[in-house]
Amino acid sequence: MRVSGPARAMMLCTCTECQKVTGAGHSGVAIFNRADVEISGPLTAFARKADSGATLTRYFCPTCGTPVYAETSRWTGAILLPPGFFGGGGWFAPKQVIFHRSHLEWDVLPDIALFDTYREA
Amino acid sequence: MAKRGRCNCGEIHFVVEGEPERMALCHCDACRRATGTGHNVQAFFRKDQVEITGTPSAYEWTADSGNTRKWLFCPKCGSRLFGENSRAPDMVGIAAGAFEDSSWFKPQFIVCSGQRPDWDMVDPAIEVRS
Repeated sequence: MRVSGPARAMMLCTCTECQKVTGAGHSGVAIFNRADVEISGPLTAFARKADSGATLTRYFCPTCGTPVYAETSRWTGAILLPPGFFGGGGWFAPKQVIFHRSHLEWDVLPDIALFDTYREA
Repeated sequence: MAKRGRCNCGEIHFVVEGEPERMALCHCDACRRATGTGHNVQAFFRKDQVEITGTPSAYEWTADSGNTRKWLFCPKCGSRLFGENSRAPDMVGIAAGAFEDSSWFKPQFIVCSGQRPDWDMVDPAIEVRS
């Protein structure tokens, strides 16, 4: 994967789907312009309609299961990248936690803004 | 009471009897990539405590330690489910996020803490083993 532009937003998500997919208490999400990201290699897609009505499609490596990216119908033209894909991502700086309503007690979060669902909700 | 869990799409589900032998949080490179976040959290059970329904995909590799590690994930939705290590062949690590109710979960120790990204927060009260 090659990313050529800046992140538009960075956040953690504690929704129940992100917990299931990551197996952890939250996912990390960095949102970029789709046009700024080049991806190569085989991927498996899994699309699911969220409670909001939006469709979220997650793409992962069929060989090792690593999450690679996601797209949402709420924000076409954007791509959601997991910081772990970049080996941790020293550049990653989340500013908000979304879907805090399903936060798990054992999962420690940074001291940033918390939103029950989406920020604008 | 039995602990139940599943992947995001429900293709694979599992039931665990009894309590975990240990619970841990790991910041190693493989765990960060596998989750897409800053760490992986697992509860380790004996394999005879765990009943799995469905067939996860497996990915095996040799870790720096020389041990063979294996990730098991849902081939349909990609959810991270189980981890195995040749060092402890009778054990299986289960991703804490996969459980329907994980209120019992509490990591007892942290490994590979030197690889923790700055943005990833952990409870300072948890023992750091490596």
